[in-house]
Amino acid sequence: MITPVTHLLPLVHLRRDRMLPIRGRVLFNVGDEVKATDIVAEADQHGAHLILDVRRALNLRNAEEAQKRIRYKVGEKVEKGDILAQTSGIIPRVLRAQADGRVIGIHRGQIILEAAGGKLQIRAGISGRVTEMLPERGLVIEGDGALLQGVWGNGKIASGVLLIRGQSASDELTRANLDANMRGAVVLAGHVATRETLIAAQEFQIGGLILASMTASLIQTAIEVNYPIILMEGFGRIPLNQAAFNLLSTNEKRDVILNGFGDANRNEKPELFIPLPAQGNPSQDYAELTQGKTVRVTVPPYAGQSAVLVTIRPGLTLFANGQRVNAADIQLDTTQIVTVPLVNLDVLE
Amino acid sequence: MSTPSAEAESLLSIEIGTIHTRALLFDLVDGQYRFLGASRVPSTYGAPYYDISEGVYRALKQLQDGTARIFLEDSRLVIPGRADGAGIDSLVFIFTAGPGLRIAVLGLLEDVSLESARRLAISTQSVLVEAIGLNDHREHAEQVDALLKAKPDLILIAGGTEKGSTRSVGKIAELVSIVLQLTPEDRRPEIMYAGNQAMQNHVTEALSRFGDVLVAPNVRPTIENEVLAPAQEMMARTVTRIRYQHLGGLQAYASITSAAPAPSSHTFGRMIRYFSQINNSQKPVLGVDLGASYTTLATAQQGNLELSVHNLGMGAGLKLALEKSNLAEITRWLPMQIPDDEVWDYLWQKTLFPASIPATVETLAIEQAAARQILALALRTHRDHYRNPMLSFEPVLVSGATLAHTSPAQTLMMLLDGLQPVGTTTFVLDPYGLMAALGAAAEVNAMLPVQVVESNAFVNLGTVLSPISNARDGTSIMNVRIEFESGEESTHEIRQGNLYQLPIQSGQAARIHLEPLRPVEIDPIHNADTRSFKVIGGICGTVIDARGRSLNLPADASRRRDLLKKWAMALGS
Repeated sequence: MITPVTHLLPLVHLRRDRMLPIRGRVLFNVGDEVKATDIVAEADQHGAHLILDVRRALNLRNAEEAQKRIRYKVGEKVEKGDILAQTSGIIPRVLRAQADGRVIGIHRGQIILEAAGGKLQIRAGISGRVTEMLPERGLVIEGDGALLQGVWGNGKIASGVLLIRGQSASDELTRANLDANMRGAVVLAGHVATRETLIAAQEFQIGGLILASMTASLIQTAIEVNYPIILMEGFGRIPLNQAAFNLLSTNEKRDVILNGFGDANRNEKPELFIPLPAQGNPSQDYAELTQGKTVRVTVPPYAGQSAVLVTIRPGLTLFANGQRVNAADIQLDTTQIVTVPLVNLDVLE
Repeated sequence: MSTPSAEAESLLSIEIGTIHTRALLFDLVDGQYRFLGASRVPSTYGAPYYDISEGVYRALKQLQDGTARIFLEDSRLVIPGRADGAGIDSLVFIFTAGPGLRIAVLGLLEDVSLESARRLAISTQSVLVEAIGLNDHREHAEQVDALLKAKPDLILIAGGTEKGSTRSVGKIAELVSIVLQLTPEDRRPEIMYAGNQAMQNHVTEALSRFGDVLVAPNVRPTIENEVLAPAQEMMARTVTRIRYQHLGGLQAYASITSAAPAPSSHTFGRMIRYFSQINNSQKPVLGVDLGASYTTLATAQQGNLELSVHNLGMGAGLKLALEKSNLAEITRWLPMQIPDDEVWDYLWQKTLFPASIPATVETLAIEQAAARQILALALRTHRDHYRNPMLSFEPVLVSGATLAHTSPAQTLMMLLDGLQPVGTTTFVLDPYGLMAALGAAAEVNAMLPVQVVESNAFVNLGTVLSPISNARDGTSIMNVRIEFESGEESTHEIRQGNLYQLPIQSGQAARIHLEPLRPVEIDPIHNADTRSFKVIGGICGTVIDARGRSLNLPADASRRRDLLKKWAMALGS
């Protein structure tokens, strides 16, 4: 059976696309080095639109006449107060721009003005070198380092020095465990159960949080805080799998980049990347579930536990709840062998 | 798109789902079309492939291994089939994968064309991102901004009865023209017009310089009449055009399929419409497809289809279900005590791992509780959209992994609790998830779905009689006498508040005679004097659901759990 892989790789050559959803500007060239937090592409977003009816404003007879009175062309910039259209005569009537912006359309005697809008910006997400560039769209960045994928992220990107809080990554992080020394650091902890902890982390200006798990009722707060959060296992009180803890432990005090974007439906996972001065190999994103593979259980029971696949059971296996499904025997880190549905496993590699 | 040959026999259906890509094989066996096998692999429209082809290849490979038939040669699908038996004669593609389409609807009157446009929009996987009608009091510029901000994939224009208003439709066209002018060429939405046919040329002329304008017959030719079916066909084709952009590789397959790829909800609806045409009941047929991201509901009577797709499901669709529900609306269906935060966390975890299945008694109960709530939410929304108060259906056809991959009794309990039908209803399970594929096949081979439906591919769960009585719980409301074909008889007392499984075996025919002891409404459709029914036992026998409508569960948690267990035991689950 083929199954998606969740990466826990001490060294990998990583390639990531960074594309704008609309046409814009690419800010780096092929060969440039980028940092994870660099803005690599940006685009102007729509501002508010004003539709100015010249015929009505200047009390003209028809659209054709209005068209003749317009002093700007499509594409020209205007500043607030500029005269957009004007009648002739000793005391001319005028139509002025109500905001800074650009004329983006002239349609049957109407001026369509787009006020200045915000910018859409895309960050690099990993550190590395630009290897491809698609003008007006985006670029491809490649880099080498350790890669760990999570299961949920809050959509934010940042980097900082990795700090490990506690002896194992199953302890709950509370406000009492946070202090001013964590400013700018990316903190690895077990579980967060209260809103107060997430808010306190923002107050201490931490660089980011890597958590094994979080109570699902905190999702909204987690999305609102100003630093990235990545959950390695998911929602509930789930300890970090041992393989991930070991890998992170060996990288403590190194710079780590958190990219909290992910979409479970598109198999896009939030990830953390630790740049390393060594050459890695590309990773495989799917793997065959076979004997000896390191796997992780994704849902209860045994959620978050890493294990070794002992055997895939022939035919269908009957579970205590009456479900009859394809299943595997796996050996947990505790050496206990348990049977779990195959679809509740993902491969860690 | 290829033209199927007249002798086309084998048919392969590929379904690109949110989680899985499935391949289903149908072929002639002893002169009758049969479902022969299926394969299922992870879909690959997302990372890292962003192309459906890898998943399709794996599904075909798995099907080839499982059926010992050759479908692939040099990694390419063999089509048409060869004399040596390799390959397949016809290919159809359906899909549920991809985010809900962002649809903006524009019409005239809120309760007329705009309402019809909304119904058309919800007949596919969609998110309604903007609605503008005559009563919209925003400034023109604000409407433009709202449409630009909404970033629709599709702008759907309705409005104007035949021989009705043209000026207002012209204004809508002008508004859309401005929006299209302001939208970068590569981001322009598809435009579909289903309004006053007299304005067809005007709208097309105003908008065609920005791209194709897809024209469908007026959804509201008169104030009183709504005609959605032709526009639904056009909507399906439009959705497919948009999905070509979302699902890498899909368009390439269109050249070898025997019918254009179509949304699964559309072909599912086609099958429900077909069932309503062969069904001689006075009640509508109800079809329910409970998927991972979407739930499709279809009601049809004498060929008139009402279709709705809800962003509710047992995977990603749980997000909206959890946002729209109080947790208590889910936990009230749990027959054991599980802390609220565990239920909440488990269901959110399921959104991250939508392919996972419950491995314990508790997690199965949580998922089945959520399924009940999703069924209830979807049916309520469906009835609201179509202003259809009907709660009596015959039959109810159901598909979806949560309903199919559990015991028949548990499936029936989820359906009874979630849908709460009244009167007499037969529940039919589609255990292999064939319905949408058969609807797609119907376009290529009209006999195939008919013969597959008549085979053993579907499971009769049982006939359920849900009488309504005002009697207090525990009161005897009627006696039921069962008259078997063998001449044997048995009589059963029915008490209000209880659920009964009558001893009619699967496939066994019997006549049941109802003898009310108190005022009881047996069925809102059938003649009040009808007290006698012929039934064929389903896999759950024949069931009397005398629990009342709507179901009132005790507020006391302990009593409620005891009652849920008692009801479950009554059906043997």
